[in-house]
Amino acid sequence: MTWRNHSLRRRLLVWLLGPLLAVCGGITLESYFSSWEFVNRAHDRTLLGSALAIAERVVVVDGDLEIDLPYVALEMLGSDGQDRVYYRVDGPDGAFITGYRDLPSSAAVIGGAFGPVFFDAEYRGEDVRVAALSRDITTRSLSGRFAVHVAETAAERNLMTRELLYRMATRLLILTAIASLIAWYGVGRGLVPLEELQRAIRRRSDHDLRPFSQEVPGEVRHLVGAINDLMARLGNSIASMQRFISDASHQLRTPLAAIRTQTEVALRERDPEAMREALERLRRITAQTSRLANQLLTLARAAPEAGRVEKPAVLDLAALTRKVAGDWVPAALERGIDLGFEGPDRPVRVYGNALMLRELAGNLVDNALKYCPSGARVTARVAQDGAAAVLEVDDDGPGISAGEQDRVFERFYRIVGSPADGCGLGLAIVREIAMGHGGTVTLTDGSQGKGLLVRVSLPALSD
Amino acid sequence: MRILLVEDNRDLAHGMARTLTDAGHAVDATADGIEADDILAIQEYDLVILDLTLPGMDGLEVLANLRRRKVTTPVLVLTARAGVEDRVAGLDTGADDYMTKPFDLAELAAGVRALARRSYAAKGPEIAHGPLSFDSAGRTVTLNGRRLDMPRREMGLLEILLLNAGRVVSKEQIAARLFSFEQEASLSAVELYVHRLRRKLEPAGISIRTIRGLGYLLEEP
Repeated sequence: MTWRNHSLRRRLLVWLLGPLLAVCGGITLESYFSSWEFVNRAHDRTLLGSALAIAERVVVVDGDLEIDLPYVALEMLGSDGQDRVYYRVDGPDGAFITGYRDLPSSAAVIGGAFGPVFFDAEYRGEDVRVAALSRDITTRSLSGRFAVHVAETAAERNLMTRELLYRMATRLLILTAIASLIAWYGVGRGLVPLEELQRAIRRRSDHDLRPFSQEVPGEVRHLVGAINDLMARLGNSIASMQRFISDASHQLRTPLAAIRTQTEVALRERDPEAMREALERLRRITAQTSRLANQLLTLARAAPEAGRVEKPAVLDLAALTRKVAGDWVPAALERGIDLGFEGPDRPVRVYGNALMLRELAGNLVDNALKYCPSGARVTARVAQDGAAAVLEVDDDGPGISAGEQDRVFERFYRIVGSPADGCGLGLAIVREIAMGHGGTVTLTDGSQGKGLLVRVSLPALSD
Repeated sequence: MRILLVEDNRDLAHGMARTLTDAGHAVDATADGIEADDILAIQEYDLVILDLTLPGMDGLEVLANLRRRKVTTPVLVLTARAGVEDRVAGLDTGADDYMTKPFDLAELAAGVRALARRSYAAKGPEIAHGPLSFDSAGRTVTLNGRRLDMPRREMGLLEILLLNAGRVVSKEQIAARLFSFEQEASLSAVELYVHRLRRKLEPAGISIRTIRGLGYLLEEP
């Protein structure tokens, strides 16, 4: 399963939870560091107080520094009894005076800086916070600088910051959980109209192609619009197919009735000559009906609603048309029509279905032969005109009046009074096939100033 | 000519058999694919007319079996299936020609004639065309019973036209047949040979028509 077909709920939760958790993590870290800072600042003030109190009690006795340690100063620290307090006093030149000799010291303060300096260190296996400062002392017998270090173990401080961290994290986690629950529930609520729509679609019968009118959220209104649009197009295409089937059965019924009638006439005839005549008519009618059946099949295969079965390929339109024209030459000679071909020596490449394009060319030539009188001149012509591959069939026959040029593409349309025994599907087939290949069909007067020129223009492939 | 007709529609088979018999052929008919396969395994024919949708065994299978036995008898395939024309024509099924139902008897007769001519030419006997007779093995041409002297190229031209009588043959096809690869296959040379051949045949009423942009066609007698 790819990301795109995960449920909306899951997608929304992932989108919500990821960033939310990251932000919460950031907030937690930030508040951890700032609480650490605040706690240290408060702590440091107390440490500094002790260090100053100690510094004030440094006196010079007999030329030596001595300290009268104020217990009060140390009592300020470690009041809760958890933390231990250490101190250390060093005289001029770094000479240790009193306190804990190995307490970590600040090199800067020992070196003479006044401070105060605060720093974290480790002493006797525990974290300690140290305050350091130095003061000058001047008497008649001695003048110099001494340093005071006061340290307290940081257990209390660490505990406090950890506590703050936990509380903050808990609050944020609860916030995230509530946000997720709201999102989960909200998506469910939001999808209710879609579920209703789904039930409505399932309930629909095959024949009911009315649009869906369910209330849906704005985001899916376009989707429903697209579905309704598809239904409308389906409806049109089904209606046009039904019209075609009903037209086709009517068209087949007529010749079948004629065949029956003529057969009965022939059977009733006593005169062999009259019987022959009836049979001759029968032959003509069946030939026409066969042609009609063939054309109906071709149309069914060319029509877009039939779907494409045959695979398209790269074809040479010139070679294909030359072959089709050649195949029609015997029929043309029989009718006394001069059928010829004009085309370039190099191929005119198109992408299409050979069977369908042969059918297209054949229908055009067939039409020309059918409607032109003996002695007419019919030319099948192929040329490349820029990006278009052009196939023309040009004749000097009776032509088609401007008023009828549009109507001749309709299925089963036949020009009133035309002598030929066509079934009215030829040009409809030509147009379906041309359109199926992304092309167009146009009718104009023949190049000889009379007759008809049918031009099929297909997208050509460049070399 | 001896023809095996394999077609399961009785009315159609009857009409076709009748026409072929009238044209002077000996026709055996069967309506079953398996039977056709059995017959073809023991009996040799000059032509097989084969429907594709058959009871017992599919027509294409009968055809495949025939070709597997290395039998080169020409086969004319009949089909009513839409789209099958392409498969029969495009794929190497071993069929020599095909015809889509419904067809008229004149079409059938022309198809049979064309296949017969091709099969005869392969075996070497004479091709007759009206008053003209062409012996493809002995390379002699007789017109109205009199031997006609003819250079080799003209005879080659006549042969290709005879084998395709009633159909258009392009200049390129003729050139490819008349000239070997090393020679310059010029289309104007083809025109010249056609012109010469015409002069010899026209007095006897045999006409070679020029078809605009397409080539030549020897009219059926």
